[in-house]
Order: sequence, then structure tokens, then C-alpha cells
Amino acid sequence: MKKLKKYRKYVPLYVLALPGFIYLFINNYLPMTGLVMAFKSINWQKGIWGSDWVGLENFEYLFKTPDAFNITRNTICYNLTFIVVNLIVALLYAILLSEIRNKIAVKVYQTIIMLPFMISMVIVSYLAYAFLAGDKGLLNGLLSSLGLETVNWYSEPKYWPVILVIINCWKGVGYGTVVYLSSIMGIDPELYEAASVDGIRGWQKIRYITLPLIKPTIITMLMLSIGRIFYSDFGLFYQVPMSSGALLNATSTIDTYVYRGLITLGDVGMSSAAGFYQSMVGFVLILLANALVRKYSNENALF
Amino acid sequence: MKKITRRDFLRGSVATTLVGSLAGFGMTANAESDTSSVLKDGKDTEILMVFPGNSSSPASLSQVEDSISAIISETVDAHIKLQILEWGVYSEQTNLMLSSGESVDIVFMLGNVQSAASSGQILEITDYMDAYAQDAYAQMGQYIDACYIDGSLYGFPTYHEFASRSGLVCSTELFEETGYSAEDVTTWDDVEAVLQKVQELHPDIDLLVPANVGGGILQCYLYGTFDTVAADSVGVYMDGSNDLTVVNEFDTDEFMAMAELAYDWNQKGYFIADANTITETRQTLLKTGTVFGYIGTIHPGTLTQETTNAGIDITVLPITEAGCGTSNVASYQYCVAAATSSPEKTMAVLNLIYSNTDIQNLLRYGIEGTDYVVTDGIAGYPDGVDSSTVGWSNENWLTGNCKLVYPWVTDPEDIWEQYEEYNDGAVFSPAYGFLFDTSNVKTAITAISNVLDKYTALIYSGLSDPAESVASLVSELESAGINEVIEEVQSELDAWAESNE
Repeated sequence: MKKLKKYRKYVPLYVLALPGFIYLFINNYLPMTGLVMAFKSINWQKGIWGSDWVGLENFEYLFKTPDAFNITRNTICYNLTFIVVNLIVALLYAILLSEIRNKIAVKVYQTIIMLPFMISMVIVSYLAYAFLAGDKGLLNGLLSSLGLETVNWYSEPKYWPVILVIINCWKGVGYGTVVYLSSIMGIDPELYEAASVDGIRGWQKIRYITLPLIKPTIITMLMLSIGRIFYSDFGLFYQVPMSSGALLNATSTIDTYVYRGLITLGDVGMSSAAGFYQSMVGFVLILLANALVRKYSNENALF
Repeated sequence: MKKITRRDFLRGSVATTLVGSLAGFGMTANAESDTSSVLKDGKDTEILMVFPGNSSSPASLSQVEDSISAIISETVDAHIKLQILEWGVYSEQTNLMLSSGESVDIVFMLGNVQSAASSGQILEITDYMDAYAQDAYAQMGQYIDACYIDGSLYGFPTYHEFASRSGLVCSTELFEETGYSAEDVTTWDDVEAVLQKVQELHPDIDLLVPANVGGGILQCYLYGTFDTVAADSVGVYMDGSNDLTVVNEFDTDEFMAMAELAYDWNQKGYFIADANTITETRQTLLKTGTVFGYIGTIHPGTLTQETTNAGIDITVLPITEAGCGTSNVASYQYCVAAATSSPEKTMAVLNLIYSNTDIQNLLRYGIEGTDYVVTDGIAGYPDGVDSSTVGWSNENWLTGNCKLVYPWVTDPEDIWEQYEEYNDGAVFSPAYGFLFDTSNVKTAITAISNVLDKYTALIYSGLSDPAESVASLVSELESAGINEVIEEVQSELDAWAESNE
């Protein structure tokens, strides 16, 4: 009885949260029942529930193909690089922005950094095309005016890991910057004053005050990224290389492989199997990462 | 319990005999009145027909619907509703409609009829043919026969150019400058001579562009040589022989010869730069006047089609022989959706669409007087109307049975005879009518699609030395499992051939 009384005063809050819960349930939890599609051979006349079970058959194509190692390696390596690079650059921007005194300047810079995040990847692919096109591209124009040989960017796979990391960073860093900046803004300025009395300045200030205090935010953002480590930004890996065949070995990820392979077959069971595989791996990785974090700094773990 | 008397027994047997004989009499009459009683059951059913188009709400849409409904309601208690979906979203939207069980009735399938059939999205119509679709069969019989999947029929193919052949399609202005005439150009060597001449006269013009965006310049070069049966890579030769040997099309002498030609022509500068990454369509490029032409598929309607699309004068020069495979016929079909409200009425409506001249003209041109006028049996725009202001536009291959419509003013008068000649005169593939069931080799097909994406556009645009690239292509196809697919296709094909003896 006492417990119920204690919870009664929170009832208004629960009611406030109710629409959000309902939405989450309908949009995120109910569709999970569709995971069964990965194990069935779908016949629309029988419907999803009436179709026959085929066990793990739908998963075979992901592992039996000679490309399997390639696409998995690409997906993981690119994602790890993206996570690390985006983290460093976003922290850098956030710290720099936090040092600026002029409020208006901060807003302007923030908007400019955030802008690429809002642009669709299709448009970004055309922007990249303007830079990388064979004879009329900006980069090649620059190279030839410097007297160097032009490069056929869309036929040379070896440059593309760098190109894709740069594009992804340019596009995605705005989001991280805003998050870290707001976290830095939450640090009590008295700490800085006390520290400067003790004689620390510049880089040491960042290392001993700023970074440790935004560690929870960094860990949260990292864990969220780890959960999506087997997913890839389809627009980035399919649109930006302009579907150029020569680049496929360097830019093919699990998502693009599934798309290219199944667009003619149209097999919903097989593509569901790919989604299931990606989300399962992400789930396991988050559990592991969280367990690790909990071991080293208990209060920073997600759950 | 009342005693059953002899009189009762007599009455009973007379009654039974009477009913029995009446029933016997009524049997044959019933069969016919069965269909018309089903079709004219007093309920005005809505038949929803979905097909692709440039605009989803042309001005004459409701008038066309009313006119077609008027013709239909004479024999069927139904009215038609037309839903035009735009090209870019057509495949996804129809896929969703058919999977979710929305009440669609007639759907135009843009390829993948087989996968739609095996996943239960469309209805099997084999049993409705005799009762409801005799007229359509009379019109399209030979082509409908090619659409049977394992003995079941799922739709009617639309009448269009069924054979594949390829050749050069180019700007008339630039062609005439070379001094060659159409009769001079009959082989690929002749085409090369023309290209050389144009390059001399106009060194700054790009000669050849891709026929399809991202497909590679010589993608259509080999059309008509193979009947591709599976995985976009496995098929039989269409050379008039009855040879049913299934081959890997990319491991043949023909393909190697084409690859070497592409490399050679690219070195000579005949191809546009960045051929595989440019995103403009061939129509847009031709319009600019800075390109010469492209290598593409040629059929009797190509001239009108390309002239309208490019806005400049076009010359069409066919080179290869026309070949007709199952995919030519069975790719585009009007099918009945699985969730249709009444299969019988839908079949009857389809039958009318395929056999009634007025409906075909309505679907093709719109309303007579507003969207088109007929002079001497040829259709043209009325005064003051042109292609951008007309209230209805459609293409020949989307109406169903376009050989019933009036020829358009830019087509030759005997265009439909030409189509028939073209279609009947094509070399038929030995595997005509055979459709491959992919369910056992889906893994291999997925892997093969990815390998093809890697290499084919490259090879078609001559961007790398064929000695290396073709060798890599073939070896990767083999590790992807193409030989498994070939074996599977061969065994199914042999079984089909035996059962069709």
C-alpha cells in the first residue's frame, strides 16, 4: 500500500509520457514481430503468418557468397573509422566553439557546421561529382593547372576509403558538435576559474576538466554508434560512388550488397534476413560494450 | 408415422424423373447463362486498373474512364477506374499494393511477373480463360501461349515489338554530312566508317552515348544474339537452330569480340567521357546537339519514339538480326491482382480491353475531338494542341493490344503490318515459352547480380583491357556459382522441352 501511495504522485508524469509510450510501442515494438519474415518464404496470398517456415535458408546468401568477407570487412572498417574520426572532429569543434566569446559568431558557426547534416545524400553525391568528375571536375582542374596528371576518380578504388570518410565527416559532424557543445555548456564555469587560479591553462584545461566532465555524453554517443555498426548509410555507399563498377570492391557494404542482389529477385524473406542479421549483431555488441563500460566506470554505463 | 403408400412412391418417381430431365435440358443453357449471370449480377463493381504514365492526373482522365465504363457496362455490371502511377515510383508502389492486399484488380507488371506469381501477389487465370477471355485469346493467342509458367497463366502480354535487334540511332543532320546513306550502313564495320567520318568532320563532338543511364555504351550491341533465361547472364543462342545448350553469355566468343571492339572504339575516342557516371539520359543529350547518337534497340516504332523524345531529326540504322525470346514477350503483362473483388468480372473487362477497338483508342489517345482527331484513318493532334498541352498521353506498349488503334501521324500508315512482319519475321529462340523457376538458386543469383554490377558497364564502355576484365568477370561469375545455375537451367529446360514435344 505504501509503495502504491509513493507512485501515485508520479501519475501525472506517466500520463504525460503515455502518448510517447504508445507511439514507441506501435512504431518500435509491434513491428518486431515482423522479424519472423526472415525465417519464412513469403507468399502474399497466405499472408505473413500463414507462409511456410524455411529455417535459416534465407541467411545463406549472406555467407556463402565470395563477397561475404569483403562486404563485412568494408562495413565494419568504415564504421569504426567513421566513429573515431567523427568523434575527434566533433569534440574539436565543440571545444573550439565553447571558447568563442561572441554569441552571434557561435550561432553562425554552429549553423554552418550543422548545415551539411540536413542535405540529402543524393545532392551530396552530385556535389562530390562536381569535384571528382573526369574532365570537368574541380579537383582534376586543380591538378592539371598545377601541372600534375589528372586522376579518373570513379575508376580508382584506392582513393575511395579516404573520400568516403571525408564526406561522411563533413556531413555528420554537425550533429555530434551540437551534442558535445551543449554538454560543455553545462560545465560549471567556477571549475575553470578555480583551475586557472591553480595555474593551468589551454590544453591542460581541456584534458583535466572539459573531457572528464563530458565523458558520460561521449560514452552514450559511442554506444549508440556501436549499436549501428553493421548498418551503413545507404546513400553514402550507393549514391556517392555513382554505382561505378570499378569501385564496388572498396565501397560495397552489406546494405548495398543486399540491394543490388535482391532488386531483381524481389525476395522479401532474404532481405529481412539481412536486416535481422545486422540488428542482432548490433544488439549483442551493445550488450558487450555496456558490460565493459560497467566494469570500468559503473556510473557511465547506459543500463 | 404415416404409411408410405404406392401412390406416394409413384408421385415421387415421376417428380424425380421430371426434374432430372429438365435438369438435363437446362445443363447446356446453364453454362452460358452462368457467365452472364455472374457478370450481370446487378452489383456495379468497380474495377481498378493500375498502369504507369508520365503524369498521374491527365486532364481527360475522368472522361476516358466514363467512356470505357459505358462500353464495359453493356456486357458486365462494372465500371472502370484508372489509376496512373508515375514511372519513378511505379515498381515500389505496385509492389506495396499487391503485398498489402489493397483492392486492385488489373495491374500492369513491369517485369517480375514470375516472382509476383510465386509470392502470391497475382492470381492464376488459367481456368478463367475459356469462359471469359476468348476474344483476347483470338487477338494475342501466340503470345499469350509464351506466358505460361509451369502450365499456369497469370496475365496477358501487351502487344509491342517482341523481337530484339540493335543498331545505330543518330542525328540525321550529322549523319547526312558524312555522305553515307542508310543503305550503305548494314554492318558494324560500316558503323565504324561512319563514326570515323563524323569524328573527322567534328572533332569536338561526343560520338556515342549510353542508351541507358549507367549501362555502358555497347550494352545493346549483342541484343538478339542470346535469349537470356536466368540471372541476366545465362541463356541459349537465338540463331535459328534448335540448340538447347545453356551457356554463360559472358564466356562466349561473341562477348569477347564485343569487349575488344568496345575497348578499341574507346581508345579511338568514339565514346563520351565518363560514360558510366553521367546521369543525363540519351534523350537529353541528343537534344543538346553535341552528341552523334547511341547504340540501342531498334523496332518499327523507334523512329517516332526517339524523334519525339529528342526533338531533332533522327536516323535509325538497324544492324543485327531480330531475335525473339520468352522474356521479350513475357516481361510486360497485364495481370489480375490476388486481392481482386471479382476475378470473373476482371477477366471479362480485360477481355474487352484487349479486343475492343474503341477502348484501345481511348486508352492510347484519349477523347476523340479533344485529344486527337482522325483524318483518313490516321490520328493526329487537333489544332492548337501539342504534346505539352494535350489532356491524355500514353504509349503503344501500355495499352494492351495497340495494333487495333489508329496509326499516329508520324508513323507510316502500315505501321501495324510492319510490326507484324517484324515480330513474325524474327528468329524465335529454341527456348521460347520457357520460364525458369529461380527458387533453388537464389543465393547464386544474388551473388551473380553483384558481380555483373561490378564489371559489365565497365566492359560495355571499353574502359579497361578486355583481356583482364573479361577474365576477371568470368572467374568471379564462376566463384559466384554460375555453373550451378547453368546446370539447374539446363535440367529444367530439357524437362520442359520433353514435355512440350
